[in-house]
Amino acid sequence: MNTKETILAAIKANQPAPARLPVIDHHNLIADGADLTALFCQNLEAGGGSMQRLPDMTAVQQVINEKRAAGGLVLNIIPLAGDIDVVPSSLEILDNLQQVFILGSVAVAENGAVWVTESKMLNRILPFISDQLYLVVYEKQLVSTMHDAYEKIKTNDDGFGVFIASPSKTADIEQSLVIGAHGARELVVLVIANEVA
Amino acid sequence: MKTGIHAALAKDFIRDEARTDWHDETLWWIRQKRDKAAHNLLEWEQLRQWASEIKEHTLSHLHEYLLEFEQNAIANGVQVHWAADAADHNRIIKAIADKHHVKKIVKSKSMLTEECHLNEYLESSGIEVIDTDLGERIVQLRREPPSHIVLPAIHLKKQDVSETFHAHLGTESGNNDPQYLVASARLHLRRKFLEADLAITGVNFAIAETGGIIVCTNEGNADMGAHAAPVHIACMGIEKIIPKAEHLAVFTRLLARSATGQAITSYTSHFHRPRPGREMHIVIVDNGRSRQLGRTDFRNSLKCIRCAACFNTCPVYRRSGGHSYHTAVAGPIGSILNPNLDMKANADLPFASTLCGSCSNVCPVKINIHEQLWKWRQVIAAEGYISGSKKAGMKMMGYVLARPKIYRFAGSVARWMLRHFSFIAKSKKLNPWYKQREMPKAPEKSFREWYLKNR
Repeated sequence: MNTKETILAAIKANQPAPARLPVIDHHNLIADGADLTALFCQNLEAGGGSMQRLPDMTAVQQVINEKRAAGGLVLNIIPLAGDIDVVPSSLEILDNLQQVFILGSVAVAENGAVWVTESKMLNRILPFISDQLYLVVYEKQLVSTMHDAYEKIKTNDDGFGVFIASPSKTADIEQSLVIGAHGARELVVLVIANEVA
Repeated sequence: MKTGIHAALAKDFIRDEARTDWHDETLWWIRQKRDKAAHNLLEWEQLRQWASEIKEHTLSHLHEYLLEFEQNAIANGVQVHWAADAADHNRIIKAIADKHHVKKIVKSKSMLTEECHLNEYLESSGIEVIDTDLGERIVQLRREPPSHIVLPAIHLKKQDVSETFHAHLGTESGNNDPQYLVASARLHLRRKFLEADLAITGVNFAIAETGGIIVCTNEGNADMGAHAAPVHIACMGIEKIIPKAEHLAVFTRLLARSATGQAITSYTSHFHRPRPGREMHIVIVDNGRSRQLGRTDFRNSLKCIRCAACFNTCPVYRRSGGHSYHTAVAGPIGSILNPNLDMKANADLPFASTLCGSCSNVCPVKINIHEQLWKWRQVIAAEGYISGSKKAGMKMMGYVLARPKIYRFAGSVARWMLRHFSFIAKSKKLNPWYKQREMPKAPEKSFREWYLKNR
């Protein structure tokens, strides 16, 4: 037998009698009627991020233009928010990335997390290597809990997907919270009120 | 590190009383944050029950789920490897590194690679391995093992970190500001990320249904490594499997709340396919886990999701420090996992507990940790791995407790001795109990004598 077969044979011999898989009937748990946007904002801020509610994509475009005017490397890869930038492949160039604007697809009220997939970030490293990360979501994409989020997304639609809930942070030095460990030092979630996703 | 001596190593740790108190209070503060997060969710106990049952089910179908996972991962373009033990695991990673002429590796937190002593193995072949979790980098620079699975440098104070960074990274001497120290580490590690030939990560969860792996970090170091380097290797124990993506909802709701009191980690990354033109490998490791699966009393330990809530609540861990457990995974959960890996070397660990049960009460997957600690003691005694003095003491105690007359006589003698010859009881050599405690005042009579008079 090769290693795989040996391991699997040992597991098969040792695994206990079949136990049932529970049904996760989470819809019975959650109280409805909460203001999801307010809750999302509160939890995002608790984690060190911030939220801005904007009327539409035109307003997002204005934010992008302001950042561009300030100089520095800015990348917008949201088609509806104006001109799309070509993403440099060189890590040395991306190391100087100031702001990146990426479209998220689900936002979770209970913890401030936003689901972002590879097809929307183009290069997987962008949300992490950028100094500031701007995630854009439609208000209609807010859900209450992680259960709702996993119902809406398909984790393997893209090769990579990530829930981002805060800027990069650490408390490894004497439990002092410091924002900006390796990844983005700032996370801003732009919630768009009026358009349908 | 010497083995079999939790009490002796703990003695070193508690020599500095102020630091011991600080360690104790810091971890208790994290435990309180966990409580606050848990109490914020009305369904907390339901989530724990689901998590425990999902893991129970998975362990009972582990063979099938591992095959399903492998098949789906391969279909995703990932290369899957199987390792029977630590040596296998290290060889597989070295072979992948050699194939790509790797000189520089960045590694995010993986207790499995600590368990396998991967760093030492690769470094002995001249490959640079940089731990990128800040806490892990700190202890790596100090040539120490992590003392906690979630907070690797929890035993250190900021001046220790400042001195370490001054010596190794050239930071200002005496600047103890965490902001400054983190910013310096960020610059140092950013270079390492950009220059790495290979990134190694651990795995928090592996989904059988999709063949994907999930890695949770607050720092983003797993992502910086995996997305910058041309090759990504993820190392997982066989017990990381869960059946479906929907089950991630249960575990992601529990993990960070149990660990640090956060609602979720900053990054919950789902890796399914390598980037175009790049390579992704998954190494599935047994290293004694299939044996633990066969131990009826102890198989539940394989449900662990490594949140370390049991560390933070444990009165022994908080006051003895992670290094006193002399293993990669310390704390209560480590004390029920490690005897399976090496019963003789880790025979002391199940005794490093008061059996208060707090660990079981905070465990998000409901492992009966304190009961397993108690059961391991019996296995270890039966296998003959306890010290002669402990064995003799227990035998004597058993003899006396089984004979009421002798017990009563011994009690009256002890009370008389304590009154008239208390220096004997206060000899730390003869009475180790006295080492950190005051002897009580000897009562005039036993409870039995009092009861017979007053009933």
